[in-house]
Order: sequence, then C-alpha cells, then structure tokens
Amino acid sequence: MSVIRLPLAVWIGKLVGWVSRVSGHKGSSLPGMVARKIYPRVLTDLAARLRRPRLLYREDQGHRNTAGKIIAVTGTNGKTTVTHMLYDFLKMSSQKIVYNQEGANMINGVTAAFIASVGFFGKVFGEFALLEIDEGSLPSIMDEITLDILVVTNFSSDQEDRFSMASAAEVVREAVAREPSVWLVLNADDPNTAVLADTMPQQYFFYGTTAGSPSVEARFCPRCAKKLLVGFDGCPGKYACSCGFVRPEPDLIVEPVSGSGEVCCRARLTTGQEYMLRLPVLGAFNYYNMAAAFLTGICLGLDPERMVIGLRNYATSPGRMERFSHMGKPVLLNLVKNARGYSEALSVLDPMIGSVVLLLALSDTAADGCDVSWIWDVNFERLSLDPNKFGCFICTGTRGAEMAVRLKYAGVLEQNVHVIDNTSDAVLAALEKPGTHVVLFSAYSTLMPLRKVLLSKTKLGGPHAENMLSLS
Amino acid sequence: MLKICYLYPDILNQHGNWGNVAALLKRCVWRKIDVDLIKINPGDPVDFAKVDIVYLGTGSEQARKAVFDDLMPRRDILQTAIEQGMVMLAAGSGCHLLGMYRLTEEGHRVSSLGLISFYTRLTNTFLVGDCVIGMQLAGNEVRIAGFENHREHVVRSEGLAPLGNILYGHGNNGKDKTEGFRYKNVFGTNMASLLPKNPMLTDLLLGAALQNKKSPVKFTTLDNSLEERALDVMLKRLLD
Repeated sequence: MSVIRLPLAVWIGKLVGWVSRVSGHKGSSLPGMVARKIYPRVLTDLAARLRRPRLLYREDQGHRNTAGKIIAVTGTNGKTTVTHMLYDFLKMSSQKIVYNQEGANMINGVTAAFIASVGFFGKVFGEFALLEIDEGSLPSIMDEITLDILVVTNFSSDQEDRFSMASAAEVVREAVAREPSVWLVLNADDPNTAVLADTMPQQYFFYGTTAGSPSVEARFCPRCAKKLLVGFDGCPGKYACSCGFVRPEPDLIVEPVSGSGEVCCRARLTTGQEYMLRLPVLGAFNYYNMAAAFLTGICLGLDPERMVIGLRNYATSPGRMERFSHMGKPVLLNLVKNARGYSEALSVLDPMIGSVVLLLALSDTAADGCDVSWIWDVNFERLSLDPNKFGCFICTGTRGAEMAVRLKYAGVLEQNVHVIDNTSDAVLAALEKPGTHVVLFSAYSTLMPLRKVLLSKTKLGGPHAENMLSLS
Repeated sequence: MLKICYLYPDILNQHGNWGNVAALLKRCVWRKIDVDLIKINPGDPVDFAKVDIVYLGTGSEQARKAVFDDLMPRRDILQTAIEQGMVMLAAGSGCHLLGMYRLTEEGHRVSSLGLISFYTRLTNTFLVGDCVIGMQLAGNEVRIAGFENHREHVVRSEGLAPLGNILYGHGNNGKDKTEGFRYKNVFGTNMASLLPKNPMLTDLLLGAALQNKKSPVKFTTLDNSLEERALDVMLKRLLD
C-alpha cells in the first residue's frame, strides 16, 4: 500500500505547501502534518532514501568515515544559528541538503522538509539532511528516523510552561540513550549537556571555551543531584561534583579574542591545529555556536579552512543580531526567547557608546510561551545604571505593559518608559526618537512583524553598531 | 529599618522569584523607608525573630530537597516567628513545603515542614496557565492575576483560609476553586512572581510588617498606573 500512499502523501503535501505559501503563509509544517495523516510512515520512508554522499572534499586526508546522512541540532538556545552555519558549510561543496526552515523544528516541519526535497520521480534530492529539532520533539523524531550526528547546544530555562529545563534535558537524555549509534557533539560547558556522554554513544565530542560558561545555570549535578561546585582554577565556568562528575576536556576549545563589530576567537583542536574564527555578527554566545558548527564540520570531514571562510561570510538569520541602518543610525534586531538568551543578548549593548533607544517586545502567544515570569530572571537592572546611555525604552507586544513594570522595578525611570501596544507604531516611534543606536529585542511572535516594518523603513545591513560616533 | 529575608537566592534563582523580592524592596525605597535585603543560603545563620518579611520562592525538585534539609532544623524558630505575626510570602514549591506532608503518587506520606495546616498531593496533572483570583483586602474584593505551573496540588484543612477564590484558572487543586492560603501574616500561593503587577498585595505585606514594628513611618501612596495597566491586560483577557 505504501506504493500508492507514499507518493500520494508526498504530492498532496507538496500541494498543500504550495497553496499555503501562495496565500501568504510560511507553509513549513502544514505539508508534513497533512502527509502524515495520509501515510504515517512518510518520514521514515523518505529519510531512508537519502543518498549517501559520493564526494567529500577531504577524502584524501583519510578522515574517519563520518559521512553522516542525517545531522540534527537540538538544545535550548543556538539551534537555528548552528544549523544555519552548518548549512553554509555543506552548501560550499554544493551538495544538496534536506533542510527544515526555522520554526519548523517539530515532527511536521521535519517531515515537510523531506517532502520539499522529493523530485518528480520520487527521488529524495539530498546527500545530507540538516535538521533543527525542538528538544521535546526529539524522541518522536528519533523513533522514526536514524540520526547520524546529534549536536546538543545547551539546556536552560525556556518556556517553562511547556517543560522545565530539567525535563528537557531528561527527554533528550532518554531519547539518546535508546540510540547509542548516534554520534554526539556536546557543549562541555553546560553540565546538563555534557552529561549526555554518560549514555555511552558510539562516539562523542566536546566543544567549550577557555573560560567556561560565565553563568552556569545548572546548579545541581545531573548525575547525583548534589550541588555543583562552580568556578575554580581561575576558570569561572569550570564545574565539578564530589561524585566525580567534572567538566570534560573539550576536543575543540575556543579562546575569545577581542574584535570590534564581530565575534573572534582562536579555536584549538586536541590534535594541536589552531584556527582563527571570525564571525561578522555580535553576541558572545556565538563563540559556542561557532564552536559547535566547526567541531561538527570536523567530524564530517569538512575542510577547516573553508569553514573559516564560511564563518567569515556568515549572514545572520532573521533577528539574530540582524543589522539595519536608518538615516545613518545603526539598528539591531535580536530575537530573545528566554532568560539566558536575553541576558547574553543584552551584553551587546556594553561596547556601544552614545545613547541607545531600546525597543523591548514581549508577547505570550503559544509560540512565545504563556508564562512571562522569566523576564524577572534577566538582569535589566544594569540598564538603569546609566540613564544617559539608556534613556528611552519602548515596550510593546501582548505583554508590553508587563515589560514596562519589569523595567520600573529594575530602577529605570518611569518617564523614560513608553508602552505602545501596536508593534508597528512602536518601531516607528523607536526610529524617530533621538539617539545614536536603536536596538530591538523581540519575542518570537513579534519578530516578523517588527522586521517587516524595519525592512520597509530602513536599509538592511549597516555600519557596525559600536563603530558609531562616540559622544566624548 | 525593614529587614527582608530572601531565602536561597542561589538555588531558587529562576522562575521569576526576583520579581517578588524586587517588588517588596522597591516599594520601600520609593517611600524612603529604610530597607535591608538579607540573602540567606543553605547553612547561613539567620534569626527569624529579628526579620520582618521572609520570602521563600519556587524552584526545581532538586532545589526543594536542599531547601527542606536546610529549613527543617530551623522550623521551630520559624514556627514561633509565624505565630508572632512575622510576614512571609511563600510561592510555588516554597509554598508547598510549608504544609504538613506531601502525598506521593503511590500514596506514601513524605514530611514537609509542618508549619501550616494543609497537605499536598503530587500528581500527574499539571495545573498550568494564567490565574485570576478574588482576594479580600480591607473589606473589598481585589483582583489578583498571576501564572501557575504545578503538579503538586494543595488541600487545605478545614480552618485554613485561602489566599483568594478562583475567578480564572485552577488554583490549589483544580477542584475547590480556591488558590493559595492565608494564615496570620503568612501568604502562600502557587503562582510565581505574583507581586510586581499586584501592588496592593505587596503593600499589604509591607503594611503588615510595618505594623508589627509599630513603625511611625507614614505609608505613602505610590503611582501604580503602570502596574494597573499590566494587570488590566490580563483581567480584560481572562474575565471579559
């Protein structure tokens, strides 16, 4: 029956996708949902048809045969960026890749990505599948397809009304424990991620930074639940537990190097090889994203020099420190979904000189997570310390007023806080206010509407934000 | 000098706990009331008799064990302070810990701190979502809005007053239409970061603490228009 139902599922899925896009929607999950109703095994069957890569451009080097067919990236923060970076790397050898669009990271979206890659005669065009996978969906997806490499970025509190940080880590751990053949690429600096090596996979690799993670969110040992000792040996992020669980030595270690307008670091493999990685995007968390993508590339046998070039030319995804410019003023758009991501995103404000107009969009739709109490776990207090630099705050989104309350209790002067419910009006107001920089921190559901206004009113791309004139 | 004791800020460091502490703190600062924030981590000494307001927040299951282990030896002192009218706010798992015991899914009784007359039941049913309650305050009913996320259900004993009655949401157990508890000056709730947009509740706690000290400090009214706006968003959405 699959002889009829599979192509039927695929073609109806494609039709649904086409109709969806033509009528202005993204169409990135619906095709998968429809196809699965027609033929539940559609994902398994299509994944099995992925062609093995014929050509890797470092075959001569005798790399391990890590020609992974399916590479997946999961974790709380950084999934989209790491997947995007890997996509750029794989694209350089012009191989066809099955790739799920951002946001379509649950089972329907993953199915839709495979459906999109099917050609006229039912062949799946792709040597690799590169999938961003939502942590909660990992078990069901792993039930249907076999992953070759799984990259886990980190676990932190996010959308606690869906599941807690501890549960997300548990869910992934259980899924991975059932499939020891998966190769794992893990963040050594996050205890809940590093512990996944305990599941005894066939192979695992660690990446990390020299300093360790500046704010280890996990307070308790994931092995024995005792309180972790954090910060010793002059390394603020090193962690250890009396039960023997310690931060593992990374196979790829990155050392941040200061650069302006970009993220720059020295990456060293345990083989001794060193590379300077440069990313033209702001945000300290990108050290981790680059390390994850670079190490995965090494596992795949990709040419490191070409990956270095890939990173240098990296063009950010929408809302990932995306740069615009308006009348010569740099405008930065960043997506913030949880406390950890927000705290790290705020750090890009530090080197800015001048006066920064901030637009903070907070919403509580299902996609954003209905519980907004996490905003109290973000250090907005630091913004109240310099009212000359941060003198204008515009709050918008469905919970804009709540964000304003957050700022008030963070010490920001009430007269500097404006609540504008309509997101378009809010952006326009932010652009018109006097200041040297405009920085937007947006919830997931407000990202595209805000971006749409920015695209219509400003120029995409722009000068490096902190290279702007200083007022001194 | 009002002393606010923030219990376990290091292990109960998420879930919006800071919101409750910031609300209490700031509303003193804005009124020019001298206030001292005392952070107590496991093992740190604290004299509950000398503290005016205690905050015990919500956290993970692992954190709960560490909190219980630290508070159990001090429960008698805490009980005396409570009976003498000390002001306390307990949220989420912090609230659940104050009960007599916890009934596991298998039916076993696990001791809690035994300070307030209720017990909790650990279940498979997560009570999650926005929550609005009606609470009696100075003879009027005020609306309080927050967010709950708990699979530990609260069952109050006969004489224990709730914090309020449910107008929207689940509350203590999803059955008896009540939320939280109120005993003397101890306020318990299943909701996290409740105080910021509910300034009347914050002021109730601060007022009670000042009264305990027989403080002559004038309790001025503050401009709550921003908080009211945030609260209104939820009340309009959930009650209309």
